[in-house]
Amino acid sequence: MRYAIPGLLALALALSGCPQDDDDDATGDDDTTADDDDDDVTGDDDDTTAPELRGPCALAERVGYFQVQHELDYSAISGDVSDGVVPITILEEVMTEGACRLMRRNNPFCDPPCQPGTTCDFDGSCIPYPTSHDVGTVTIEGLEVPVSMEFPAYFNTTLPHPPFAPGDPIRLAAAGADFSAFTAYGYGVSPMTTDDEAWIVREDEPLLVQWTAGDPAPVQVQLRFNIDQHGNSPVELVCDLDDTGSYEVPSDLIQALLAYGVSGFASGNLYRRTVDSVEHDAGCVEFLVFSHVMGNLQVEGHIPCDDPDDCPEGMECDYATNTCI
Amino acid sequence: MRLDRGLRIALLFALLLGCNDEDEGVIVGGTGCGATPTPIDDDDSAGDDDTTSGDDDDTTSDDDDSTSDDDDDTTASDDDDDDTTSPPVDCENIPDGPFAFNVMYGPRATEDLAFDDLGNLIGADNGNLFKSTYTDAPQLWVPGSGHFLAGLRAVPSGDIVYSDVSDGTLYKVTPDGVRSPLLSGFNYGNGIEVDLDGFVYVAEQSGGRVRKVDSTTGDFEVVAQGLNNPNGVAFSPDYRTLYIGSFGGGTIHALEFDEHGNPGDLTVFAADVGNGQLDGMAVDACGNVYVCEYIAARVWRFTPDGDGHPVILLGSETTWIPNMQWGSGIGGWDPMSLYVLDISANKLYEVPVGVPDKPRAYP
Repeated sequence: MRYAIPGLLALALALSGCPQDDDDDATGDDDTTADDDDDDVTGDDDDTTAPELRGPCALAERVGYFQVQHELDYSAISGDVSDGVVPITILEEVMTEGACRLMRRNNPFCDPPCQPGTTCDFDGSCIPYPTSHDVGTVTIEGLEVPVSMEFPAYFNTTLPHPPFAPGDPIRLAAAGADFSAFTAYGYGVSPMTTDDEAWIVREDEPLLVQWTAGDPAPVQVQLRFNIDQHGNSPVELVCDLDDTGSYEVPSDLIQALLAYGVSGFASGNLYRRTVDSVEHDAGCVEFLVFSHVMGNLQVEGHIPCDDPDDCPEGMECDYATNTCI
Repeated sequence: MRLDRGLRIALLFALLLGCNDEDEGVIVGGTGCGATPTPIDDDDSAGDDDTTSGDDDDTTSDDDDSTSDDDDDTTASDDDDDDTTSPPVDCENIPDGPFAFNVMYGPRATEDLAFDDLGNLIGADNGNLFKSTYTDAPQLWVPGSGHFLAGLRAVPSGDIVYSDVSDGTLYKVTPDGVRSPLLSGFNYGNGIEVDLDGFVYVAEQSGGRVRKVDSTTGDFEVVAQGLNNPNGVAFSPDYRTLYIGSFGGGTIHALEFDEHGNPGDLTVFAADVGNGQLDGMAVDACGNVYVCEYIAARVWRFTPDGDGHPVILLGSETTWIPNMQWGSGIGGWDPMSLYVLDISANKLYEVPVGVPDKPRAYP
């Protein structure tokens, strides 16, 4: 963990070329509020303060992203900046409780369907499909190796694994081309790990989710549960949490999630991450640094079976649905 | 010189089935050596030599089968002796199943898969595209390709097309990894099929329709609508019938196309199949229709007449099998085996089914 190494931070700030005389306090405790977009790396009152991260973009304004992705067995960088938002990606918040939200994807429907180069909006009209743009040379410093990318190949598949050290400041700079230059920040995070314990969604019960506690703020953990992967109205449970190692998802949310439907393969994802964002000419661009694992999410009452022996004690195999009931 | 579609089908069949003039017709469903499939276009544009393979000696390995238990396997050749053709097939005597299978842990793909002409299996995981060879560890190919990638197929140009459900867009990726949107506005674009001319057929699960999309321009037409959760799609060997499975409805519809490629009426090919959650589909060289039953982890096989039963039983291994493809015959991928995906654990099942894929324009 390297958050409190003044020398390294000073080096990072020097690399970033960012001013250190801001008077806004960026201790990062409750993190993600966004202020300005270009001058924020702080370090005002002590050398251990971190650049303030501005949190995620509003979905309706998110025109681009860059991400440093750490998976179990590989790491990668990818990114894209366009001039608009595809409407279907704007999820609707249908319920909130504690640190969690239920987010629903509403499928816009256009009849007749939209022609090439356009996409469907929620009012049933076809609008221009956002075009990817050149934002100039994109460099990322603070990783195990420096990275430089050019449009349209804003990706890298040759990173060391892991690509960063926990706590190391990371700076992304786009030199500017079609849009003006911008800079965003993040931190290396500890690899996300969980035990193999299944997370079992049960009716009317809260769900305790546990992981190996990791990093202090501004690092957070995001939990994303989807139990309706092949359904028609996918609703996802999203929780943004402190990295304490556990969280109990309220039963009301679990019940609501179940009520939206259960089908197919349930997926439970945990991300240890930092999120920064920057406003530029066309909208908001996010910079994510994260480590991801997929947990073993199951839904009680939806145990597939072909044989009575497939089902737990007290349950029978319903052959019509091949589900233990 | 571009051959007309019907002739290409005939030539591909000749290759696939190892025909010669003396062969007896052993293909059910009106196709094969004894009953060459009807050309779709009756104008004869071929004629010009270049079509190779008129010979009958290319079908290799007649030593049948390939049941797979051990690691020294089954499948076709590893390296230089790759054969993209397959042994002759006696469609009246293909193995009946259930089939033994070989579990592969290396290849990386979750919802769907495709093969390229370099011996790679292409698949997606966590929004990234990977290339996996038959023997080596998978390689990250195109990161940041989306969030929930469903249907994925190769097209004759060598590009890969895939559907990202999260933004309702069909993307195209060139062999050098450059990604661009081909067509957007899909309402849960799911299963994908590709015809010999490179048109892509996309089932829109939430939109209840199937679109035929030009893989170069993105131009499209709706060829079927009013369907219940269409998911898997697969053409018959003559590319005149498109089978469309329903995820949740348990029905497989058949959509006939006339000689000009115009869609006709939908008919019910099979109903009340398994638990109803029908996912990826495929059709073999004999015209048999395969469909993944998602949660039960079974693959059903239907004769062209619509009689079906499960022939691949993976319930002891997994619960989620979204899709399948025949091996390309390149780099060790067995053209006589179906490769069935396991979405839950990055596992792949190699299932020698004793019959190859229908003619393909790729790889």
